[in-house]
Amino acid sequence: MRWWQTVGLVVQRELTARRKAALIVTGVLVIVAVGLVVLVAAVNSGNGRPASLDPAEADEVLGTMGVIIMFMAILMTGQVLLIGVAEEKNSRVAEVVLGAMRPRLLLFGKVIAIGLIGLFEVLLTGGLVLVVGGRLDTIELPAATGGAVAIVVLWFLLGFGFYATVYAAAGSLVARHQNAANAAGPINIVVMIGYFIGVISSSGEAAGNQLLKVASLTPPLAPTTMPLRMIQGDVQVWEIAASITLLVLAAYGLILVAERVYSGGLLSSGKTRIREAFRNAVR
Amino acid sequence: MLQLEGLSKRFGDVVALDGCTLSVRRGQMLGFLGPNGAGKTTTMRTIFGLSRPDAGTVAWDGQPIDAAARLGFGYMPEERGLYPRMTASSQIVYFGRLHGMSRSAAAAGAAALLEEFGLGERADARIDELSHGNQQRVQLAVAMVHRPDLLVLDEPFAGLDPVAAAMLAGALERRAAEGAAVLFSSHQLDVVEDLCEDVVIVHHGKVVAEGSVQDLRAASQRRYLDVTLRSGATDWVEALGGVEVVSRKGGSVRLLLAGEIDLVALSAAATAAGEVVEFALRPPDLSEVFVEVAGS
Repeated sequence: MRWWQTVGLVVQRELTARRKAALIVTGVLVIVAVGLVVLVAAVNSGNGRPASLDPAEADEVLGTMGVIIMFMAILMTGQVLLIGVAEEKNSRVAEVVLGAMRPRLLLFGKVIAIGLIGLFEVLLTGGLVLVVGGRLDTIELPAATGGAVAIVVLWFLLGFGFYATVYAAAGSLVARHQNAANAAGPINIVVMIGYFIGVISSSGEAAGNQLLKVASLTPPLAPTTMPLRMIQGDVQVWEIAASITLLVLAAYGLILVAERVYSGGLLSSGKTRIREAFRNAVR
Repeated sequence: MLQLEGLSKRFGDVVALDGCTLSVRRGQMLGFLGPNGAGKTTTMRTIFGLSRPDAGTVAWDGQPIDAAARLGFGYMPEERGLYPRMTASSQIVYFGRLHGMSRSAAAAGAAALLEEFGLGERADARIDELSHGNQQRVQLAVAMVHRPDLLVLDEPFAGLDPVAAAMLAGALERRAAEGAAVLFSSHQLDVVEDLCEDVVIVHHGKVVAEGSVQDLRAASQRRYLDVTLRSGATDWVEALGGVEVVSRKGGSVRLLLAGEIDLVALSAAATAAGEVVEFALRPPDLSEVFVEVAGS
């Protein structure tokens, strides 16, 4: 039994178990995003020429959308992970599963599965907006839309990689999965700080915005701020490289810690303190 | 063969294991006994790497147990756990595959076990739709689907009705007969006495008695005398000295004999009280041995 076969089985089970919820979320996302495009097109249908934005407006709208999508995607996938882990802990099935595999494999399998679902949702929504927007005569999508979708997809993967194991670790500490939302509180606050910096900055002048600059180089805040700078085109290549490097390094360290908390939390019963989880961690 | 050597584990001030040593051979069914908090669950969790011992080793066939070795083990934890929204059959198949079975072998194994446990018609029912007893059967199937070489079951008989308990006992006997090492804990000592040749009794994290049930009973210094009179009278024992009356039920008296007891005089006293239909000297049964070594 190779480790990737075990992870594959976990991914498969997670995808099967979450297919209904994933389809519902995907449906809602698609309806909202595509509906918006269709709505603008419909409102504009009386007008002689297609609705369009000038480049400055386009940067602002795309930047704001990017920040909002990143924020929602991280929160939603994080929540799904957190609740899934809490359920596994509190149904005590984790005990049986971890009798057969190392905690790391279970954690990675879950993260990959939920990541795939999130990626699928972001790709499908972005892709449908591009297709529908391109087909309708009465709306003209900004030229930068395709690039913006690509940037959001890239940063979703980075941001998800950073936050996923932290949400999973938080889920392993709760006593009842109904309380899982509380455990996510501190993490959500950090995500929200990044979101507010992004949203506030998206409408103003990005150039010379020192807060945005610092945030986009700070790993926990980068996923909702760096894509904004990239979409608005006001960023040096070295800054992007530095931001991604820092984020990957920080994520690596965080994953090592989160993995220990996760394994210890999952194997302790009831509400667990981080310190206790650390002590009970195995392998 | 499973070998646990000198396992020790503390949780803060609480000593869970204190040099626990035991072994289980292939084909052996070992009953693992001890009062609540004696360290049975911690021992079992240690075998599966779910609890890290402070000291001691766990080995299978002389090799330290790693993740690969554990794929050949089956575990039923004390707190049962299944995915509530998976069906009985897909759950068993999933765990079979986690232990390295192919999809088709796991499916065949799951179907056979569901049939063996009388759940054939509930194969496609979700776990949260099953009764408690049926969930327990699925839990057992999850532990057995990959035909493990070592089967570790924490309180498998808890909460089972007599019919289900007999079914479980039969299933365990078949696995042991096929060559699996079986270790299970239980508080139902009558079940253990019927099922196991060998038992280990732990107390305060240490093994305090081990061996065959027969030997443990015979090794006890205590002897009990069961006396029954045809008349059902039991008040004749009140005049006796040097004996302790353990119980009086349905016209039968059980006496604990201490020190040098004159059985001839006792027999005469009983005969004087009426016609004797039973006069039997017995070693303690398993639960009495248990109380003796783990009672204090």
